[in-house]
Amino acid sequence: MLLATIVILIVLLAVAVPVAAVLGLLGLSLSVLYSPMPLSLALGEIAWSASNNFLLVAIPFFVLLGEVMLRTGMAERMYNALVLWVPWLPGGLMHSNIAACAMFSATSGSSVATAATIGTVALKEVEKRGYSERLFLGTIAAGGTLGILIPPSINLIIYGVLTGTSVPQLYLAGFIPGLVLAGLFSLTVLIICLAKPSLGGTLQPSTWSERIAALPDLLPPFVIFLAVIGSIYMGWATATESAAFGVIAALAIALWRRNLSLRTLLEVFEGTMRTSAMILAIMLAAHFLNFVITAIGLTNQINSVITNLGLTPTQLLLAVVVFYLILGMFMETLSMMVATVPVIAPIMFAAGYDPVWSGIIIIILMELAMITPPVGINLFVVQGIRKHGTVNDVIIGAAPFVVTMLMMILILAIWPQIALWLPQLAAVR
Amino acid sequence: QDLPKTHFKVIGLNSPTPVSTVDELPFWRTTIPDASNGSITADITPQDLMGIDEAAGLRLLKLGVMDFAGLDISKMAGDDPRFEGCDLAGLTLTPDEARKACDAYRDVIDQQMQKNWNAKLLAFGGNNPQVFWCRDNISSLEDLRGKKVRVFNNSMRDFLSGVGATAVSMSFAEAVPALSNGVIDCAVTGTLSGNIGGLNEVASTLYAIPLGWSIVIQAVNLNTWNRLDPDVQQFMQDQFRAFEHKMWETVKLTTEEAVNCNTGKEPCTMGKLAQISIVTPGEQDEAARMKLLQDAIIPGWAQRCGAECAQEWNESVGKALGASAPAP
Amino acid sequence: MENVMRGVRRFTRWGYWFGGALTLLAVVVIAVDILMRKFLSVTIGGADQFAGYVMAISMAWAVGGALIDRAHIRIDSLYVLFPRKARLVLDVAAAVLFLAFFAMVAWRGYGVVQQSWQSGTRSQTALSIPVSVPQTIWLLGLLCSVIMGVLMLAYAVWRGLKGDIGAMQRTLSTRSAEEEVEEEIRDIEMRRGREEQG
Ligand code: NA
Ligand code: NA
Repeated sequence: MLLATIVILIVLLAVAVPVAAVLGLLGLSLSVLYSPMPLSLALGEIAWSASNNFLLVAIPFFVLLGEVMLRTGMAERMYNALVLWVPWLPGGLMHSNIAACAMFSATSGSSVATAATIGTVALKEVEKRGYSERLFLGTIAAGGTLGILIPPSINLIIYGVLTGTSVPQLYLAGFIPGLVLAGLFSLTVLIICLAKPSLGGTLQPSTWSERIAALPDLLPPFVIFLAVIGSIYMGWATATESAAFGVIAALAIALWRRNLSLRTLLEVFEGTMRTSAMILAIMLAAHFLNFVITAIGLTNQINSVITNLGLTPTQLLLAVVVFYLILGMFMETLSMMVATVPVIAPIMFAAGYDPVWSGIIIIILMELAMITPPVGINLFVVQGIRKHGTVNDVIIGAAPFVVTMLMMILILAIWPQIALWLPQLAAVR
Repeated sequence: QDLPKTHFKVIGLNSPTPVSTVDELPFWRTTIPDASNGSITADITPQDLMGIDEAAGLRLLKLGVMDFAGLDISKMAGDDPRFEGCDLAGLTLTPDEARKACDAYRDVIDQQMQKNWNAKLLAFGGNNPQVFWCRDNISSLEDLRGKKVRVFNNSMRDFLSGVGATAVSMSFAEAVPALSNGVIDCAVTGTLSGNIGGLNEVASTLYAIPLGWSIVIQAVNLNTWNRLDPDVQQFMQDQFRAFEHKMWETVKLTTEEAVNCNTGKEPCTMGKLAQISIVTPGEQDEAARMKLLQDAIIPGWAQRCGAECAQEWNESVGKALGASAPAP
Repeated sequence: MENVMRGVRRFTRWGYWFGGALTLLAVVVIAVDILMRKFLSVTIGGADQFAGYVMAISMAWAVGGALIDRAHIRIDSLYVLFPRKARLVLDVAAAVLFLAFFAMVAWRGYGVVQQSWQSGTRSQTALSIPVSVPQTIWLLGLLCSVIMGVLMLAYAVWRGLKGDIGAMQRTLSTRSAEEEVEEEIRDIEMRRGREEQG
């Protein structure tokens, strides 16, 4: 059963069937092959309930937020301001890319939106200034993954929903690891550029007055961050609702700056719908697949295999990392989470791992999956914006950051307090 | 004699609830195979693990996606308001009363299920009382005035508007952090499921007026049922009768245990020890509850359910409890 | 046929606008609900359910557009290694399978809507609206999306049969492959231009 599942999955993926259809068809074929019951009859009910689940509403809202920031020029101004502030390190603009990704992550719930937005504004610079294109692309693909670690985060919401863990606690837990990981990304760039200075591009000096003058452009992301995150901890809104506040804040800023025409708004609508329909189609199909693999007992089978291994907690953690590293090569993160977290997370909890901490580890593994080939959504996004060459350049450029992320998991395993300190601080009232 | 070999596909109740872990899973995994000498076996999966929307369970049973199903019927009141008929907010105060109400209503529900849902009712059961978990101290119904309270069905909404509180709808997953951050002041959920779900860490007071029991049913797809050997039918019906009794005993048992857990006393095997002050409603609240029932909750439900339905209710649940629904 | 394809593109764009405007409306409704709840202790009642319906509806109306805009993620690591003709076969297969799955969703979705009509199902919120209303709009969106996808597929195959492989690829292939083709064509034209001059 497990083997058949993997074979069907790989064949459908390899011939480039759209991921949403792959998951749905895999569900249908497994149900035909292994279920005595007509599971496909449930497709309608599952499609409807997955499509109108309020907890997923954050997805289109965050996509909308990212589109507003991109198409009204807010993201570009933010990037240009950061370029003035972080040019002196070896690696120059690549550090700006990471900083911009981290900052944008604080307003965006999605890694795809982060990579797409920063990629769109940053890639204009690459030819101008003679960077190693590969590493430059890698910083965007990897930096973009911060979108789901630094709050707000769609994936943390989904993890919370799947495991019954508090999303606000998860948000607090993601904050410091997000900043640490951004720092490690920068460190990676620094080390590579020190080792091979030719990759670093030409530095462009900026003056202090330029830097001060650019500061107001950093304000809008900050306001949006406050609207989204502040509204949760001030007791105004739930984690899902807060996304709506972010959109309102972004629209208000755009209107105030007179950057929002009807034409722009319609473009925003088009971009939002194109992306959210793509993601939600995957979510819908993943829900159905999850239903089928649970119904035919595959989930239990995997579960008992893992339990019967009798692993120590450390071995278990290692196994989880390897599992997601391999699965993450082939699967899209949202569908992977929906399909695996209900199985994996309880095993980790039973081994004594904290649910909030486990959530952060799984999110970093999801980030990893976004930049590992052959299926890495951020690789595709960056390649999609670049519009020339092959995706292999992005894959090679992002490779060093895979190592960085694995380091980050090791660090979190040694010092879990990096993730747990803030949530514990907040829990003491 | 030996029963013919039979295997069933079952989708069960939400897995974190006692009625699932204590009653339903053991029923299908051990009781039935043992009692039938291994002739009858079943695969059961709790519905939440399959990612099924609670409101969709009955629809899936009708389609024949599973043979048997455990269903949280108050979530299906959108499909037919009768499904909340023996579980209206504040209608019954003890598990025995709730059982009496649902017993009286059995034929009505069974008829509806056979007529509209291609299914047959086999047993009623329940969860712990659905009570108010609050951030601040609540000592009477009056204290709820102006509070924002998370509820999950229409009759609870009627109850809240009757006491002047604001009904907020949100999923249980968001209720714990929302209560912690003050988005809401109270959340209505079971005394044990709230404890298991983490509300005990963010609430200070449990105001123990039962707004229902989250009544569950066990049902079978009619096509499956009619295909069964008469001996198997008889066997299953006997088993379900015992199962029903066990479910109600569990409601009583876990209701007592929930009090232990929430006040930091042993035995507490199913929940987490917590320190919450439990406020029992006083006499004044009892009068207020009766008035709310007569003026708001029963008429509100009768309005949703229609004249014929109200009539049926008066002859069954109403007669058993000494209440009456006005014709809408 | 060209006109049909133009019509399809225009229609899917309207689908985007419809879904986008609804999503923005849901944002506003949720934000207003938050503020009212915070400052007036009143709620609209069912704002979350409304937003959920909006998400289902807008997704259904946009999913076909996303197919036509080739926005659905396809794993092309292996795909790009295939020769051009084989890739076209895979493109057609991918589109057919995608449409087949969503046609199946729509078909089963019809059962959902029918059941809701039959039992007069109402939403379990203060709004208490008949669920069949949002479900019908959702189902119509799915249907239109599938129909638009089929028209696009028919157009692509038609162009392919007429020998216009480029147009077929521009309609169906993954973006990276298409751009490679464009580059090739540009190269060829540039070379041809040079040859003519020289
Ligand atoms: Na983020
Ligand atoms: Na990957």
